[in-house]
Amino acid sequence: MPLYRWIRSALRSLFRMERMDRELDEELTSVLGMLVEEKLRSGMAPGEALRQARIELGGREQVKEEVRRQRAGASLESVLRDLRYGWRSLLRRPSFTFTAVLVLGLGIGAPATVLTLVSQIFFVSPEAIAEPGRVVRLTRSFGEGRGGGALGNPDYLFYRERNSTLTGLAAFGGQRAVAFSVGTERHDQLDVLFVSDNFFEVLGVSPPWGRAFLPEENAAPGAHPVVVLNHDFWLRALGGDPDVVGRDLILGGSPYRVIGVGPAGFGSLSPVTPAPDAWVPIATYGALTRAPSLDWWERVPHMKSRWLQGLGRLAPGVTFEAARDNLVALGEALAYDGKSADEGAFLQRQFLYSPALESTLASLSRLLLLVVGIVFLVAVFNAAVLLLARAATRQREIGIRAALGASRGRVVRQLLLETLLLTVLGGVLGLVLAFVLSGLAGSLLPVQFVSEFRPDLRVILVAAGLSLVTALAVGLIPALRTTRRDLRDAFQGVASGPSASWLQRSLVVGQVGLSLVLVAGALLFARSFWVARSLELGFATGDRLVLEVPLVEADLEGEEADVFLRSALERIGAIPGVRQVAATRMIPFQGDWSTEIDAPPGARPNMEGDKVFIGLNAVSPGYFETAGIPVLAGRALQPDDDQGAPPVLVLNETLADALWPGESPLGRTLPLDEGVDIEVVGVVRNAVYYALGEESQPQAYLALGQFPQRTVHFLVHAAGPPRELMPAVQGALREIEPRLVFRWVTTMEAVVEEATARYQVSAVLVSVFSLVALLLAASGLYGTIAFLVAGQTREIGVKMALGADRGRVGRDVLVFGLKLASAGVALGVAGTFAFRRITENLLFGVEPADPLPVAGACLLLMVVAVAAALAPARNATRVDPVEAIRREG
Amino acid sequence: MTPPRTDLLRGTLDMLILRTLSQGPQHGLGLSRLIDAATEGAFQVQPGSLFPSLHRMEEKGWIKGRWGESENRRRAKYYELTPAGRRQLGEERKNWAQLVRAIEKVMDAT
Repeated sequence: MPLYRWIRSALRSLFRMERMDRELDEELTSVLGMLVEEKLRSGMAPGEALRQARIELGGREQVKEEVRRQRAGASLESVLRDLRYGWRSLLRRPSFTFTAVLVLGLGIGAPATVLTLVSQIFFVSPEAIAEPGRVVRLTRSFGEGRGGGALGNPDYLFYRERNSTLTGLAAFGGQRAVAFSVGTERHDQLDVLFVSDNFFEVLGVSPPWGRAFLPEENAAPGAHPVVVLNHDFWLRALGGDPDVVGRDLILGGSPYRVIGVGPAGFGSLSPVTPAPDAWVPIATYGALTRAPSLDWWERVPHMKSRWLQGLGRLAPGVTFEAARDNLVALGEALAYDGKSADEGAFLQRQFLYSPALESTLASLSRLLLLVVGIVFLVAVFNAAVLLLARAATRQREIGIRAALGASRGRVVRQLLLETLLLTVLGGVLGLVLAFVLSGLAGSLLPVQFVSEFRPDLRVILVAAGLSLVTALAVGLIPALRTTRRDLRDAFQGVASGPSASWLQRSLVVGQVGLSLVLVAGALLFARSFWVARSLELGFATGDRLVLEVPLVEADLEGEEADVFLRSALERIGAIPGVRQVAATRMIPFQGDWSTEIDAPPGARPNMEGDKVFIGLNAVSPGYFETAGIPVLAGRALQPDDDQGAPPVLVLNETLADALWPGESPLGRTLPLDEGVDIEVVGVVRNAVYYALGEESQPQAYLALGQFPQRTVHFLVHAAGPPRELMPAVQGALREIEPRLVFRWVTTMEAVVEEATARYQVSAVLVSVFSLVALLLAASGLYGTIAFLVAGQTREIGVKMALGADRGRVGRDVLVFGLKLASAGVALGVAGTFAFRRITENLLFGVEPADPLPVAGACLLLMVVAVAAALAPARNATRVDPVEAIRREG
Repeated sequence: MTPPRTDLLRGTLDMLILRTLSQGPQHGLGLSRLIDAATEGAFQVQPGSLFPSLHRMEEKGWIKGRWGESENRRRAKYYELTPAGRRQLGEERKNWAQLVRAIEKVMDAT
């Protein structure tokens, strides 16, 4: 048949299904009528005539089915027919449909949410970057494939000149706030990122206004003060001034020529770091940060001057592996003082997130995927149980269809389509859930997200794929099973009793087992978080504001810095609502500062080579009080400890014990500063300095007045919520020195929270999902037990009639429930062994093998099982034996 | 005689229907009776088996269905041959003749 005709007929069939059906019906009725007339004319009795006519015509449905099969587009039409039938069938059982859709929605929504999150964290790249798949990130490896260390500028230049596999290698680093002013009145700050001249080129980003950097602008330190602005910043702070290119901006006190503005939407290189407000050449680093000497540019790299990351673009036709080999080989050839044997180049495909977060994010994502996978399985099992139970009750309906001539394949297909409808509905619900949940997740996760969560096409496809897979997995078995029984069973209806088949039971056991793993995990992570949170930190965390203020960059050095600090502390102290204020160089968990000296006579060394390792800090008077660190012996630092006075220091317990065990350290001296002996005037309580769970660290506190620093943190103890004081404190500081830049403003609580963030997040995530799984498993248990009791009403009746008392019957049901649960629990405990490794670096202070959470989870699940079995058990005791036996079922 | 298996003789059935209709429009039951009579009882096509073929041929455009009144003033659907149908009948006749000759050759060979 010519194609167009076929299409026309097919479309006609589809759209006029109803009408064509009716016409056919009419035709058949008319023919039947004529047959009857025929028979009547030949002398048959009316009843007989009708019967014979019907026999001769044949089964009406079958004829209609035959005709339909002939039509063009028949298969599509029959699929649509099946779908409509399935839809009506689902509507007839609203509670089943609702439950099944909810279960499936949860099961599909959870993975979809996680995939959205993970893909946005790991796979999204800024739109403005050309071919992001060809961009690679170059950092320093610490051996064994553990990379992520920063490069020095000379290293970077070495790789840039010598590589043979990249069309360009750019570098970036050192994002920080610098003072910026327009004219003399307005003082503000903005975030700059230092980049190489080819930064925009390598990324394939072209500023729509002005231009990017030229090679000579990065050639000599400080020679070309130029800046490219971020589009958002340009709009926000400069009012989108169309003449901005060519104007000067005062950055860090000097004029910088604006040469270009970046495209809209381009700023951050990852979803977890904020976008810079402007880009400046690496060559301006020294000037903007007031580096002590400008030979950092050429200096052989050692720890302090490694601050860059490389960003390269693969040359056409070059594979990632080839580039990696090339750069690793170069890394081996790169030689400098202090380079360890394992160090080398580390190349990665994704360049999108900061190395420090990487391992945490990776672990979290793995955990999340696992957890969500488990929930998905539990949901699928649950849905399968529901479908099995439902299918068992449709025996009669299926039997009738078989009797009417439907082939087994046809019935199976229809059942599968019905399941597909369910899972599609579940998939849609799941997507909606994913939208909502991933939006919520932004507030739970500790990282700062620049982009909001949008589900992308991949996620939708995955949700669709999951729906399909689920439909097949969940629908196939019930469909095959119910069509296996022959006609007789079907007509005997439910008398043979839907028993909780072994399949249903195994699925429920599986659900219980999986839930156990999750619940045990949740308890474990919760415990870990609790341990981390209740750790004795040694300093006060509540009501404290922290502000990081760079001094040297504001041209505050020496005497000026001293004067500034004094008036700053005075001014801030005078603000109503401030209980105390102090300044400190170091804040817990943020970086480290330490030194090694030869052990002075009379002191015990605490490391090999007769040396003493000391952690350092420089603080203002009143620091210990403000920070809540008790002074144990001697005194704290005082205002008198300034430049004119002899240098003093305060030790913590660990250092005092290490150097002079059993003796008072007061009055002793340590040669900390180039041979100058510094007197110990006090001992303070230990605290946590660098990381949670660290061993006791030896710490010495110098006086800020005697050892001025380039940057300080102001620690403000507030009488109320610390954030409320932020504007007042910042205002006071700006009053004293308008060119001040605030690099960081937060509360001490937030600082500590960040340190415990990963434990908190894991605990929350696993707990939420384990609750979901637990609910599903509980409902699965309840459903199966109830189903069993309902199906065995007759047996129960018989038992009772034979003398079993009601209590016994109820107990039997409870025991059955407990047996199911125990099997699941046993399975689950075995499962916990398998998942140990995944939890490794997300736990604090607890072992993955800790038996307590597992025991707790077992207990919880057994309790849940009893609860689930209670109602059915009670129903069983209420069975009236006479009724039950009499009923056919 | 058992009704002919539709799948085997569907093409043949089509031809018989077309031929019968070439003598004038008919409704489904009438067709069945006519074929029965013409073949002197050898071909008893149940009305139920006719319908799939009728509707298929209608879709192909060889016959056209029209609602009308039967002899007993009953509403019935009549089918008539279309020009395309007439051409198809000629084709089928030719093919049938070829088929018969081919089979005869085989049967007569020694």
